Amino acid sequence: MLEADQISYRIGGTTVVSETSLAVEAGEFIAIVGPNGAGKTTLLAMLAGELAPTSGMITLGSQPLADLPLDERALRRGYLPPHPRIELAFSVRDVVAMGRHPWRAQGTGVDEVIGEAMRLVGIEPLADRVVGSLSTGEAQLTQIARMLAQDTPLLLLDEPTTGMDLGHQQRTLQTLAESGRSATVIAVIHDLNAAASVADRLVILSAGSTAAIGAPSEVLEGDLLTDIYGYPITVMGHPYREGPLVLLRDP
Amino acid sequence: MTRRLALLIGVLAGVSLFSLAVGEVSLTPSEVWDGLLSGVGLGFAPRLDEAVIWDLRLPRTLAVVIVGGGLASAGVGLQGVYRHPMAEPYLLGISSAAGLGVVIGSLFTPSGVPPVAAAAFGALTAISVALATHRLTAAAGSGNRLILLGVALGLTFLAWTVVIVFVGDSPRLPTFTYFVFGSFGSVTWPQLAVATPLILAGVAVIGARARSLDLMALGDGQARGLGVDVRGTGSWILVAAGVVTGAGVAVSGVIGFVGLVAPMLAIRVSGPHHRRLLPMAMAIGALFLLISDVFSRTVAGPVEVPVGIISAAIGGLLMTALLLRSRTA
Repeated sequence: MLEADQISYRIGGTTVVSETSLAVEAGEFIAIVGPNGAGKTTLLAMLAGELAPTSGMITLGSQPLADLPLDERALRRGYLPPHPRIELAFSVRDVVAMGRHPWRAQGTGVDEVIGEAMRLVGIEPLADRVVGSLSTGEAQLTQIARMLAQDTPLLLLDEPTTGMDLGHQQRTLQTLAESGRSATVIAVIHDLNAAASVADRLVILSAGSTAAIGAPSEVLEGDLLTDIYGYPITVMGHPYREGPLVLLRDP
Repeated sequence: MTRRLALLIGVLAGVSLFSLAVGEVSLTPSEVWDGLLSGVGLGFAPRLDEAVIWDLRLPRTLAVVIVGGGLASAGVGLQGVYRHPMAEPYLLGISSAAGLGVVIGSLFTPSGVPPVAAAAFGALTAISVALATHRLTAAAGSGNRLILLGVALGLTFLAWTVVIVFVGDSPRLPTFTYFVFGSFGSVTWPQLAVATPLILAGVAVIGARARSLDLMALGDGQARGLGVDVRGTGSWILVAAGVVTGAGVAVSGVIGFVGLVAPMLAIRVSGPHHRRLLPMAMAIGALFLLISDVFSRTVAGPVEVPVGIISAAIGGLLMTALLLRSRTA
């Protein structure tokens, strides 16, 4: 449904993302992982249409993403940029309701969609709180609910679980993965084990290039990760479920 | 909320009537009423009363209300676009740019600057400076650079305005106090006839983008993600704020504090939704400036204290009190 063909982003003399290609199938959960500065945020912003690639081409459905007008894009993909901040004293419900903006022409059943989005991420008790008074994790959950209310077939999220505790992180990612039965999800995630637990495929970025793309069990490999992250890493079988478990070794 | 707005508009109407009554010639409420009616051919009032009301105080009062509401709307629009509580026409240098524009315009018009030319010069310089500042600071992504540049430009424009006024030393140039501190003392009907449609048009442009401004509070990336044309909205609002400010400055000179303090007060009453914030801020801005203008005429009467001095005196205290009461901006 989304295809990136040899996309690059260069600014000044620096290449932030270099000739990366990725074909995302409908319903897939893709996690973009990699060390700081690898180009994850830039890659995701390009896939969301927020940043135009300096070369290469992205198609959404059958159309070039660059040709889609903003309001059309808003019906087809939701985008959560990194470190979102809300400046005014809107309530949680207000912010989630903003997710319905692209659908404003329809008008019906809005309250149910908003309520359902808040219920899915468990923030109904916070509905009337002002977003500025929330903790980082709660604010992030509000943003996820806003994304779900936008109800697009494609969700792109940059570090969606920033500031969340372990339980909320895992539950949120699972909520996204389950919504992924109907929607396609592409998320930048730092925690490799969390990424491996929910993603169908990982895109491992290193210094602007894809070091590996594939199922977590195929691409998470100790030597590769040790090399990329510059820290000794071991990958073993997960004791409680199918799939890999990434562990740090002492240096 | 609607009730509060209605109440505020009621108070505004009351203070407006009071504004018609006070000044060098003080009138009773029934004299004001008779004077108003006799001006439209209903009933009879002494010639002087009618002249005071229709030639001086009515255009003046209307101008104060329209300029006050307009400056507040410009503040709401700019604060929405920049997501910064200090973004408003005066601190962004837009007001002073308009002032310089009007002064330069009057250099080219031998027999005193006509209202249309003044508004055009004011609005064009205001728009240019607003757009240029936006372009110069957009990449920085932080409001601080914007405000710093605005303050620097504003002081520069004000200084040049004063230089031109002094060097020009001509009776056809407006006075120094008029430009630096603002005054409604010389408002005429023709001025009002030019400024009113311009300001209303600017307000309409800002009001039509209320929903986009709400979404822009989520940040540019998310707003765009929800289908908002962030850049287009920004440009329209900057142009609208420039027109409103330019038209206002052409009538009354540079007046600070209204665009800053009115949205700040209004958001506490109406909440952050721009559809409700905009009318509330405009009513507060109009009332605030009207009270300032009434004081400017009465506090040292018959001498007029420039309205900008009074608005700063009241507005400064008001803002200090607000800031001390709450911990956020």
